[in-house]
Amino acid sequence: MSYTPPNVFADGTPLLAADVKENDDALRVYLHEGVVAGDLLNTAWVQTRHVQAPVIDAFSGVQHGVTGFQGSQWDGGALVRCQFGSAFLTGKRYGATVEDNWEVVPQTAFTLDLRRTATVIFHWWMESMNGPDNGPRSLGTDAYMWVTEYTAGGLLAGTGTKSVVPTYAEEVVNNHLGWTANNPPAGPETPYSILGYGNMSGVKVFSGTNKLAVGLAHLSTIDRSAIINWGIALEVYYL
Amino acid sequence: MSRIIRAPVDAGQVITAADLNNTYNDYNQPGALQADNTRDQAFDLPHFQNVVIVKNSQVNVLGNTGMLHTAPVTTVASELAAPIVVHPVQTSTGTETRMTFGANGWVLALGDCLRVWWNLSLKCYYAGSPWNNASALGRYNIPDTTPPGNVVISDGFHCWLAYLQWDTTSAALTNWVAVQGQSDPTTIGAYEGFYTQYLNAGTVISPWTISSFAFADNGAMPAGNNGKGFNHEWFAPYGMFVFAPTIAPVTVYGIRLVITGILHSGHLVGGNQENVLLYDYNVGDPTQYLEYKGGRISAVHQRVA
Repeated sequence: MSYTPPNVFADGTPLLAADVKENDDALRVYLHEGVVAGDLLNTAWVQTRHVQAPVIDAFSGVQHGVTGFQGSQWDGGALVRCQFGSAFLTGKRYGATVEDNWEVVPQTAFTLDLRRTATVIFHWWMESMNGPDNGPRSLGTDAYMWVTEYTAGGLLAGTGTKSVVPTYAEEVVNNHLGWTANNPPAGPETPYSILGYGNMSGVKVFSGTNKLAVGLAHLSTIDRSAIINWGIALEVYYL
Repeated sequence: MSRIIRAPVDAGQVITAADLNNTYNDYNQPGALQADNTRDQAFDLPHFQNVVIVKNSQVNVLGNTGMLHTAPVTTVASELAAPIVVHPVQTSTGTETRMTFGANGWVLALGDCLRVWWNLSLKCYYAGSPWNNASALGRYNIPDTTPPGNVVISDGFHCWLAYLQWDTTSAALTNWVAVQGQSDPTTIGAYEGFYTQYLNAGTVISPWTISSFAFADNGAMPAGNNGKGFNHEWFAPYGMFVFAPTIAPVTVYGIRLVITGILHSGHLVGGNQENVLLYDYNVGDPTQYLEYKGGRISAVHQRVA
């Protein structure tokens, strides 16, 4: 409906407060719930400057605006944050036979307070150096560190129940494969470090709502893995 | 310019009935509401109810479920001769694990963008030293310290290739071809392979690592130092693809990941000496194969303009 003033005023007649108020009330109703497409200019006229400015959290590297979130974190910046994975956190050693006991990779998570259901796209990459783990690995059972994304309800990363899809996990092998100090070939021709370095990259696309955390979790059977470079990035679309 | 620009009435100002009527009638005009009326107001999320950025999104499992390197796994054989038949990623029982977008597909209009990401856990197998097979590409000799002997070594540039195909013809999904910017295997001189300029949706996968350590002796290599091979064990290659139609809308009915190999890098001897990947049947053998467990493929169809 378009707006039509209930009262039309004429010179020389009393101006009643009630008439003005009635016009104002009708205008208030119109502006709150009565504007229809025909009342609007029939060309695109909303400009970027008219859109609510985003809130930028410089510490987390994320901004939240009208259409969603975006931002990133990486190992550099103000602090160099080499991360790690370890079998001593995930409680598995050599030849994992179960796909649970995932533990977070520190600081590689975002927390979101979604205002309505949104499409979340979480990107990550990392380069890691795994081992050497000179344990029973040399008996023939491979040791790996798997990494994949987790989501959890609640705003504190890692405090909610982690949801992980093991099939989506990626892995890097321990760098001790085939190397034995007393059983040549060994030494410079076949150094223990010839394996055990790996890069991974993944993208998790999902629909989210309310408060949640999305980040990286690991399941390791290697005593230690140094995640020497890493990055995470976030795209969230409400629309 | 806005027609709702009337200045407010100041205290003590004399106005007429027309002034007052005009103030209200400013809002009784089609198309009266536009940019200039917003002034320093702001539009927030509720104003954008009918605008879609993400038109479609989908995630599918690749291969077999699970992450442990146990059965079931799926095997890809190395190519032994032309014609090349690429391997669509599937379960161990032969069911293709591909993305399908229904009878109407995803209609990528001008201004839309298709983004695809995938990762797949796999392991490459080999037996012996296939890179040293007779006529293997990348194989060359270095004089050893006992002339006229030679040490045979490899440049180590063999690879498997994973790339994306799509079907843009019908939901029947019987016309799979490489996505735009990516080619399927083609004839390159006496070889089959790929021009590297058409590998926009391709990921190369190293089948082995070769290590060689020897001190040169007057430019010659001590005999017997022709490299030791290492298996990479399980790792997880990944890839991505981005496409935005530039001429006409494109309807995509499905996307799948395919794997093929074993290839070796090269370049044309004439013309622009373009870089290529060539199938190396000299190393192809049932003992050279690729095994994969599981992974994921994700796609997002969104509006960017």
